[in-house]
Amino acid sequence: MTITTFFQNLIAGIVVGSVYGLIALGYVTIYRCSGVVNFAQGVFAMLGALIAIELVRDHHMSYLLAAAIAIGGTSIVGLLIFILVVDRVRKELVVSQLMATLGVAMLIQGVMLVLGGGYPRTLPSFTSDKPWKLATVSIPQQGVWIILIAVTIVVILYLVNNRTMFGKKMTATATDPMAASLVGISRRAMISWAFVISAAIGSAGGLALAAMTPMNFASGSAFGFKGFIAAVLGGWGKSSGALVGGIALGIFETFGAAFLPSGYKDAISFLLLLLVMYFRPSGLLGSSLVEEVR
Amino acid sequence: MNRSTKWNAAWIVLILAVLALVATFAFAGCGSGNATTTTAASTQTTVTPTTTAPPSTGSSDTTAATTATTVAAGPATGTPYKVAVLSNISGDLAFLGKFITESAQMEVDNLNANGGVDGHPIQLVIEDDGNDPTKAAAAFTKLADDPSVLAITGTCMTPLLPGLQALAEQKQIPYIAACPELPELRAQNPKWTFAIGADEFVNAAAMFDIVKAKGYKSIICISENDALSIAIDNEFIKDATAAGLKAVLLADTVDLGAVDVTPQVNKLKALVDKQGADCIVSTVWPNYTGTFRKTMTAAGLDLPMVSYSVTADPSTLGMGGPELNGLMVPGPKVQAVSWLPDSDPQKKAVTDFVARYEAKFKTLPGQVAVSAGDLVVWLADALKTSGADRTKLRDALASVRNLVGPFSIRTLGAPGDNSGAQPGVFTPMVIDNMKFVELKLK
Repeated sequence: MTITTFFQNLIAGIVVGSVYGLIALGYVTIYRCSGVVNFAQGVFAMLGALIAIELVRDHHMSYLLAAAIAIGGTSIVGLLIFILVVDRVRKELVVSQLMATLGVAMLIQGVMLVLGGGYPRTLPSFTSDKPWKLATVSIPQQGVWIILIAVTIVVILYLVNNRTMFGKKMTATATDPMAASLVGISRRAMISWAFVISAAIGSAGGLALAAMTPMNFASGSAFGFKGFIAAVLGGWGKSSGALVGGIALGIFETFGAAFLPSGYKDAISFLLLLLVMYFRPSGLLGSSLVEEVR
Repeated sequence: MNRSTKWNAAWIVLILAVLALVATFAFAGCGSGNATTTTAASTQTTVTPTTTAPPSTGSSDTTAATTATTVAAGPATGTPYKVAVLSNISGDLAFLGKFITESAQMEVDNLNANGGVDGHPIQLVIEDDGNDPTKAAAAFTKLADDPSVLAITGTCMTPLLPGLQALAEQKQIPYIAACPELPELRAQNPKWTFAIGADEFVNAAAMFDIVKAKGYKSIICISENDALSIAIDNEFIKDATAAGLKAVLLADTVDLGAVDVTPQVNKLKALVDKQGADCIVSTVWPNYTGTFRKTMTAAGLDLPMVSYSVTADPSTLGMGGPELNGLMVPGPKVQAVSWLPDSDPQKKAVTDFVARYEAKFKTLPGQVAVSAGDLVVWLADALKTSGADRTKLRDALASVRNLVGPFSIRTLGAPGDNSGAQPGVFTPMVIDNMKFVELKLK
């Protein structure tokens, strides 16, 4: 492998890993607040992408407006998933929760198949398809956008969690739900917000990636599983861990596919998951939540 | 607010949200003009029956069904001939399966409205295989065990073919796949299995014609991770090598469902840097063709690309953007109807099919949809001589000569050929400003 190819693969890994990280961030945000693993998380990415594609490509809407509608619409769906499904099962067995969120994911996929026809479609690049050149290495402009979006979202989440009363309430709910309730914080309201935020994050990741890869109703499953792996890799408890886990997964996958046939990419992801689960079950950055459970 | 009131409010919010979502898409009219949102069952074509133009290459024993079926006036009222369409109308690639069912239903409705097969209407039984081998096998068995079903047609998904062909041979029921036959299955000399699609030889030759005419000398082929795609690329390499060109196959494939094709493009770039290339030949599925080209551009790889025939489908344009401009492809004649010469023996069949399809679906048909058109033509022609008998139907299907359909002129009889699609089914075209236009070759 030449130096150029090495960096080319590294950039590709970071880009796709950033999207995995965003989806992982959604998992983590909801899990921290509610203890629910939301397997409909990948659906948020799919929904954000498909709504934006419809608006940009067929209604020639501006990117920003389409993105706002896509993220807003997906957030409403996230809220509804909580109100109509998760809220009813969050005190039930974990298996019930998993099945409920999986069921919702399949339902939404089916609806999107009927509404959208199942065509995989892409968005135009945010700026240009022409890459920037750094020596002999080509840097895709859309890739840079994806990384910027991921980093921006993590920074905003960090600031919200640590510098605002709202963030502190969410953190309190995640850390000690009982104590939070005693001081008047509504856990249900906080979990609702977690679903809204997760849906917004997932849809932002989806619409950013839709400019690089075709998306259809079924895309959510693939991203959902990769995001889940990234969340486990990073450790369930930390937002930064989710992004780090995603990027680690993206790089591992991309370099694996550079040496092996690309068809092994998914196997590579699961191999990495198994290795981390075996040697470092609390994730790459560790997780107080996992430690607590152990 | 009590719990009941709360839930009522929640349901109202849900219904409003769903309505908003529906409105978003309905308002868009699924802007890519996709046909899959239209219900086949409601088909009522109003195209005036055609009465002329026998196939110029037709033999005396068999005439084109497109002509024959329009002789009788008025709807068919005889005992129906029941034929099953087993296709993926759910699952990841449901949009492709729907092309088959909707197009077949449209053609059968048209046939039945114009006299059917000597007065017998064809009754389609549509079953979903979900693009799942297990589900497909179960549905196929159920249909084959129903003695009133004379034949099964369907899947455009080659990975399902091995299981379905084995069942067709075991159950001794005529089965017409709506895709090309796989080489290893053709080698088994199936007696009951037929395939609508053009085989790897026809596909490879059509791409080679473009490459040769454009004067490319050094070609790298990239395949989908699919037996047919790889077979087409391998045949292309044989054709190119025999003509003194340099052609190699990239040692990686694109998987259906791949999230990112950057690793494949990086490997391609490394190979181009190492040995040079002036053209890429691709049998990557249409949904990844645009992405592949976009990723090539992002990697600083700017080379002309010739893609295989499946790409010449209106849905391809909906899947990509400007990155598709310049993509060369040998496409079915339904995409070339505006420039097809009058001397083309398929001109009438193509024009009529396109008129019906556009009237119903408001878009041009692609290769999968037109394959279903050929399917009905082939079946109708065979049923004329076989009647309601599976063995006779099999024999009739296997003995067509110069049968003109909207996709192909079909002649069976060559050893090992269970398709009969003749060379010349494709015409060179190029994507320009999000349209397929004529590619003029020297």
